[in-house]
Amino acid sequence: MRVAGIPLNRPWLTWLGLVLLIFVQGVGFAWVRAPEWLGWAPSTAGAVETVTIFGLSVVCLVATWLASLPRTFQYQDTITLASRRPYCYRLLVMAYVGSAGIVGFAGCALALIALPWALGGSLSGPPLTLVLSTAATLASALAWTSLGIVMAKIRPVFIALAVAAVAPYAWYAVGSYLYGGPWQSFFLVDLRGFDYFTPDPTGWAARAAFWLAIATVLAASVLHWKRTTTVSLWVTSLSAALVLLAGTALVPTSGADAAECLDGEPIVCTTLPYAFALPSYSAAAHEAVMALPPGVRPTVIAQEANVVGAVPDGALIMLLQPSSGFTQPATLVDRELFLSDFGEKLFGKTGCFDQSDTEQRTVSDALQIWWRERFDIPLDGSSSIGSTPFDLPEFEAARAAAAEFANLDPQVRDAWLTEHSRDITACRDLPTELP
Amino acid sequence: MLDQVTTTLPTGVTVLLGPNGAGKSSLMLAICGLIPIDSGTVTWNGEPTDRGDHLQHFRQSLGWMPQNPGFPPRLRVNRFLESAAWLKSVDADAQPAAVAHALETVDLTDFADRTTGKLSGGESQRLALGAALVADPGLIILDEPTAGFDPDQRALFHRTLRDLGRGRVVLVSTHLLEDVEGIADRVTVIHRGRSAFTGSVQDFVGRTGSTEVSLQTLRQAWTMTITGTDEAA
Repeated sequence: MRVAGIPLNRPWLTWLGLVLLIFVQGVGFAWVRAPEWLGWAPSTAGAVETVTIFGLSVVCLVATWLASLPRTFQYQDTITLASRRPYCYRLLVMAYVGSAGIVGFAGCALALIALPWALGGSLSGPPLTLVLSTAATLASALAWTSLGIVMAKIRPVFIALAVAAVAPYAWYAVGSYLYGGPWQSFFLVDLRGFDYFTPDPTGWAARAAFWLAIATVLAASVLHWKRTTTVSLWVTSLSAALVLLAGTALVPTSGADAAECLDGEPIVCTTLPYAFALPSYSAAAHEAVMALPPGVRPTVIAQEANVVGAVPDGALIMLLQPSSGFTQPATLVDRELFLSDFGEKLFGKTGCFDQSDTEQRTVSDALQIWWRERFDIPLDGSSSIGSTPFDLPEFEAARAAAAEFANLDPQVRDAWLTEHSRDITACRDLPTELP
Repeated sequence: MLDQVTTTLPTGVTVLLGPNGAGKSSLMLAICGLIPIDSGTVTWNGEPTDRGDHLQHFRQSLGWMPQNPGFPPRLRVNRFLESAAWLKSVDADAQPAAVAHALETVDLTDFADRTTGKLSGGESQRLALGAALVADPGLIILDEPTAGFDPDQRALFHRTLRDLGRGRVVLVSTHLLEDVEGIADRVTVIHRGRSAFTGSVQDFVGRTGSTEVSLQTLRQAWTMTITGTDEAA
């Protein structure tokens, strides 16, 4: 691409900077929500589209700024009297900024797709949505570049720049307010619902066609290609209708319920959307069970009951989903959260004994306190939403009992746990006192 | 408002002379195609300038310097000229030489890496002229190019324009008779939107009965042309 016409001192360097800015903000924004999409293709498709939430503002703003330079600095006549085709400068800006947007956003998409392998996992699920959402993202970059050039006509310039910076995000924000309605289809869809249900691929394809048609209409009108303008207006209209029809209706993702297990001690199983979590899930589970004597160790830890499938007779199964941040399922396991939940699941035994039985409650609480302190997990419950804050005064007796239990000879402690393994691992009454 | 203005611009420097508001800039803008004309035509090499391929050819041949040129203040001088060269379809391979030649012509070679915002008024005018010249145009139209120049800058500018006038059509608007004395081969006087005189400088001063081109005879010729009488002589 010839960039001599771009009135910047280092046009290539600026172009590269723009690409990097788009890439870094996109990947950074997506990474913050990595647990929600990492390694699962339909969710990754949603993440690919969310990189545009702020990225399009960058693209639109730069396009407006460059396109408005001749008027801002009063050399518009030089542009008007160019011997190149009419509106050559705007076309150059479109190519310059649009290509930066395409390279930047394509880089984001590739990074999100490649990231699972870089972290030692893989990407599961149907890849079609990835292709379509990437196409929609790149097409929207072109469209907003064109719209940015149109916005450069707004006077005064600072208003144009403000509108260009805000408009793409406003487009997204309006979509958020219209959640569930047909107009939502024109906006980014939230990726969090994409673990078992995915928008129909037609919706992605329609949105890609819509954005591409918008970009084509504007580019063709700039070039005075009347026939292309007319045709692309028809395509815009048709694709808009298709977007409204296809919408963001979610359909069950084929194969998403399938179980994926990883052998080890314990065996860990997830559904396919969370298969990426298996290594860190297994590591955290292994760390937990190794702290227990064999008789108390769960042999299978599974995300949901339906993914366990055929397990060996007598297997001790614990249902505990891979989680991160709060308590939602995640593809990257939060070790502290997982261990805290593990202890609560094993020793809390909610509903398995009479909660008004003070002695059993103290034993249950003491075991949970011992477990948390063993892994340096804060007692205040901050590691997990809904977790009991054992640092409150009312748990003083339990904390004292936990301290005594922790000071026991490990063999004595393990022997007691083994002796009461049935009480601990099954849903039944707990012993009324610790050794 | 211009009315019934007919003029032919031969090779050499033609000075468009007229008081403020006479219509000099309007005529130049109309020739360039920057403002529409209700009737009549502008031709270049015998072809109307506003039609199809001729328009592109005309613009390729045209170097235009506006009255108040502007530049992005953080842009370097040579980058602005590269940008202007691109707009004029100068081949990428030829751009460095074209920019260097333009810089040399307007005596800004030493300022090539300076940002345009740091140029003085005179230097900015020279840069605007450089941008007009970068594609080696056959027709150069300069709107009040010497406004704000000091005597040295004006002398340099006159020398440059005289050089440019050899083999090119140069149209310069001014209200300064010093410019006529310094550079003009021909004079067109615009008064109240009409062409009051078109001819050689010698014919212009000849109206006073003198053959000497001087500020005094030019002033007398000017007054005669504007008043439409020979009383000033």
